[in-house]
Amino acid sequence: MIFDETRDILEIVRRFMHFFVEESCGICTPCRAGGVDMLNKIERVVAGRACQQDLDECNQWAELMRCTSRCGLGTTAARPIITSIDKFPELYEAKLSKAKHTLLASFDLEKAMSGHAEVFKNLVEEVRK
Amino acid sequence: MSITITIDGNEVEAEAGSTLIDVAADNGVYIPSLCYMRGRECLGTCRVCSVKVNGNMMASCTVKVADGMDVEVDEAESKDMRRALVEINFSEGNHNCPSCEKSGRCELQAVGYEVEMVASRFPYRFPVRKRDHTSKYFFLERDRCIFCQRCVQFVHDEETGKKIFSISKRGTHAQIDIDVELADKMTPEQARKAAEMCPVGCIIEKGLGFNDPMGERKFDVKSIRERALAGEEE
Ligand code: SF4
Ligand code: SF4
Ligand code: SF4
Repeated sequence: MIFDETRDILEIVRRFMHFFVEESCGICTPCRAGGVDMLNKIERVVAGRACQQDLDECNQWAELMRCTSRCGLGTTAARPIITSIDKFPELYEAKLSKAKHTLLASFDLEKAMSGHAEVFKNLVEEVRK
Repeated sequence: MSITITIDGNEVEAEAGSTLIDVAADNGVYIPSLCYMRGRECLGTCRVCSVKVNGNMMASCTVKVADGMDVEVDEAESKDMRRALVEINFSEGNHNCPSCEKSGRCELQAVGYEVEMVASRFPYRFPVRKRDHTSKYFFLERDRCIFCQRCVQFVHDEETGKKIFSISKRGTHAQIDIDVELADKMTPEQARKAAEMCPVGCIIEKGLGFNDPMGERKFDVKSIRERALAGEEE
C-alpha cells in the first residue's frame, strides 16, 4: 500500500488493527483474544495515554500473535504495529504520556468520571424543573 | 517406519507420521495443551502446545514428526509464549477458581499451575456473558468458555449424528450455544461425558460440584502432567 506524507500513520495502524479484530474468526486464542488486547493498546497510544511499557508489550504481544496464530490472518494482524514501531519510532515516542505526577498513564480520568458528569447533569436538570 | 528426532537435544525414536505432542509425552517430555485430547482428531484451537520445530513456533498437536526434526520445548521464548496463551484465557473470561465447581478437575487451572503462571499479563476484561440453564442436564457458564471446540466437534446426538453444541457469532462476539431439544435426549452417561470433556467449568452438570474435598480432587490425586506422560486418553 502507498500513502503520502499527509496521512496519520498511527491512525492507519489503528484502523488495520480494528479491521483484523472484526475479521478474526475466533477459532484460535492468540488472534481472537490477542487482537483485542492489541487494539486496546494501540488506542491507548493514539490517545496519548501510553508509556514505554505499553510499547514494549505491543512488540511482545504482536510477536505472540505472529508466532502462534493458526492462520495467516492472525500471523499478519499485528505486523502493521511491529513494522511501524520499527520504522517510525519517533511517532510513537511523541505520543507517550507526558503527564506529570501520575502513577498510571493509562488511567482515563474523563472516562472514569463520565458517570459522575452524567448524574450531575441530570441533577441540575431536576433542580431547574 | 521408525525415524529419529531430537527433543531438547535428546535423540528419540518415533514412528513416522505420529503426532509430535504424543511422541514428546511418550518420551517423558510434557507439553501443556488445552484443546488436544489424545486419541482424538486435533482441534488446533488453543495453541498452548506451541513449541519450536526447526526454529519455528508450531502447535505440536498439528505436527506430524519427520526424520531429523529438531524440537525445542524447554526453551525460554516458547515457554513464555505458552504461558502467555494460558494467561490470556484467564483474562478473556471470568475465572474465579475458588468458587468454581470445576476447581481441582479443571484443565485450564491445572495447566496454569504447570506453566507456573501467577496472574495474567493481559488486562482482565470481566466480560458479561449470560449463562444458560434451560437444558435438563447442564448449566452453561459462558464466561468460562475458552472456545476450544471440544464439545462442538465431539458431542453428537446418537440418533441423528447432529451437533448438540455450537459456537455462534465470530471473534469477540463468539458464544457457546446448546440445542436444548437434542441435549435433553442425551442419556445421563452421555451428558456426564460431555461435561467432563469441557476442559473448563463452562459445561457444568447440574447437581454436581464441590463433591470431592480438597486433596482428593482429580488433579490433586494425579497431576495433569502425570496423566499426559502416562498417555491417558480423556
Ligand atoms: S488466526 Fe485465523 S484461525 Fe485464528 S482466530 Fe484468527 S482468523 Fe481464526
Ligand atoms: S473454569 Fe477452571 S480456571 Fe476457570 S474458574 Fe473454574 S476452575 Fe478456575
Ligand atoms: S463449552 Fe467447554 S468444551 Fe465447549 S468450547 Fe467452551 S470450553 Fe470448550
